[in-house]
Amino acid sequence: MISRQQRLMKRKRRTRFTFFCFVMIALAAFSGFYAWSKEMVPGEKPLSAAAYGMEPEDGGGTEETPESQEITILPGDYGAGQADADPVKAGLKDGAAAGESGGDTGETGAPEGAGREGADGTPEAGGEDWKREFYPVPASPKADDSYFSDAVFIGDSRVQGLMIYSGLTEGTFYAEKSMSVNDIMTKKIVAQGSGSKISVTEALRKNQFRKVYIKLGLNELGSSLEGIVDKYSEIVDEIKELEPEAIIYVQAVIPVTKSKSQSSKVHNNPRIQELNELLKKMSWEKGLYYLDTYTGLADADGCLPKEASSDGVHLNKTYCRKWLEYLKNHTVKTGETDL
Amino acid sequence: MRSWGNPIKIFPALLMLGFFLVSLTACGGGQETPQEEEPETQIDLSSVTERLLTEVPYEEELVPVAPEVFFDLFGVAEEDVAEQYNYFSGGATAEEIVVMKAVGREALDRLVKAAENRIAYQKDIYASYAPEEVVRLNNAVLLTEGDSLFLCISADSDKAREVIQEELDS
Repeated sequence: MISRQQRLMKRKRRTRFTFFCFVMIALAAFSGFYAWSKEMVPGEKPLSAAAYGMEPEDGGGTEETPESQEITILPGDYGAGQADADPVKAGLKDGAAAGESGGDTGETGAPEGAGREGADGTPEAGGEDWKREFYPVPASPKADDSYFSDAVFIGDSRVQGLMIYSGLTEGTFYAEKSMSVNDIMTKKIVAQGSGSKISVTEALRKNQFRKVYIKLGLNELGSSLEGIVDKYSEIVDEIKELEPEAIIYVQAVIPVTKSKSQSSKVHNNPRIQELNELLKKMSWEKGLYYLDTYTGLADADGCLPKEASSDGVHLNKTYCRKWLEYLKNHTVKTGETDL
Repeated sequence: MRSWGNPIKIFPALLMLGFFLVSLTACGGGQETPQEEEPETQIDLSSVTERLLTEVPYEEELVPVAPEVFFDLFGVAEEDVAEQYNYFSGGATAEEIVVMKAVGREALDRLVKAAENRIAYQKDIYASYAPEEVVRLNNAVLLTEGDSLFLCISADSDKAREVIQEELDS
C-alpha cells in the first residue's frame, strides 16, 4: 500500500526526470545545430594548394610550410585558365607568361636551375619550387580595382602619375616626384590633412596593408647600382617589419623612350635593365614578388614607345592605364583574405 | 431676408482691403531680399575651370583627381572647401588647374596659404628634377575673388590670367 506522501514523492521525481530529459534533449539539439552551423561557415579553414589543382610535394595542405601557408594562387594561373588571362591578348607583353624573352631581361625570369614544373608537369608547391612559380609573377586572371583596396603603392613621380592617370579607384599612394631609395622612407611626403605631412615609415607604422607595391630606381640611376640595391634591400627589410602581413611586389624599373635612352648617359635602358637584373636577384633572395613591368610596357625594341611619354620618362594617361592593366593581370593572392 | 448693402459701395471697400494685404506681403518680402542677395561671389567656377582647360595651352594632358586625392595633394582641409574643381598632369610637368570656393574668409586665407606652399614645394622638387618647370611655377597665376581662389600653372600664364579676368568681369 502506497501512502499519499509516497505518491507525491513519486510524482515529484517523475516531474524532475521529465524536466531533466527535456533539458538534455534541448542541449543536444542546440549543440548539434551549433556544430552544423560551424561547418557551414565559408572560408573557415585556409584553402589548400590542392584545391587549386596543385600538388604539394609533401601531400599536405597550406599549413605544412610557412610559405605555402601564406601564398595561394588563383585558379587558372596554369593550364586552361591561362589563355583567358593572356596579357598579349590584352594588348600587353609578358615575357614569362607568353614565353617571350622580353628585351635583354632574358629567359623566363627564373634564376639558374629553377624549374617551372615538377616531374609530372604539375607546378610544385612548397619550398623553393613554390617560390619559382612566382618569379617573376606570371599572368593571372584579371583582378578588379578592389584587389588594391588593401594595397599601398610606394614610389616616385611615375607612381604618382599612376595615381593621377590610371583611374584606379582603390589603394593608397605614398609617392612623390624625385623620390629615390635614399629618401623615400624618411622624407615627409604623406599628407595627413590640413597640410601636415609625415614620412612613409611613420605612415606605414600607423596603417596596415596586405599588399605593398614598390617602384623606385630611376632617379638614383646616377649612383652605383650595387649601392641602389643595398639601399633597396634595407627599405624592403623595414617594410617587412612594419607590414608583416603584407606581400611585397617589387616592380621593375619601366624603360625610357629610345630617344631619351640614346641621349642620356644615366637614364638609359641598358642601365635600367642592368639594375632590373639586380632587383630581380634581390627579390628572389628575399622572397618578394618581382613584376616585370619593364617587359610589360616596352615595345619590340625594349624601349618605352615614343607615344607613351612627352618627356621620354613619365607615362601619359594611356600608358598609365596599360601599366595598371599589367598589375591587374599579374597578381598573387593571400588565400585567407582574397579567395 | 438680410440685405448685404449696396454692391457699388462694397466693391471699393474690398478693393482697398486687397490692396492693403498686398502691401503687407510686399513689405515682408522686402525684408528677406537683402539676406538672399549677400555680396557673395556669383562666379560660375565650373565655367572658369572649363575655359582654363580648353583655352589655355598645356603640354601634358590634365585630368581631374578624386576629391580625397586632391585634398591630400594640395594640402587643404576638406572642411575649408565649399566647392572645388581640379586638373593635374601626370608628373612630366608642373601644370595644374585648381579652382576652389572657400567656406568663409578665414578658410580662404588657409586655401591661399596652401596654394602658395604647394607652388613653393613644387619649385623645390622640380629644381633638381626638371628645372624648366621652375620657370613655369614662377609664372603661376594665383588670384582670389570673393571667397574663390583660382590657380593655373600652364604654358601660357598671360592667357590664363586673361581667361580668369574675363570671367570675373562678366
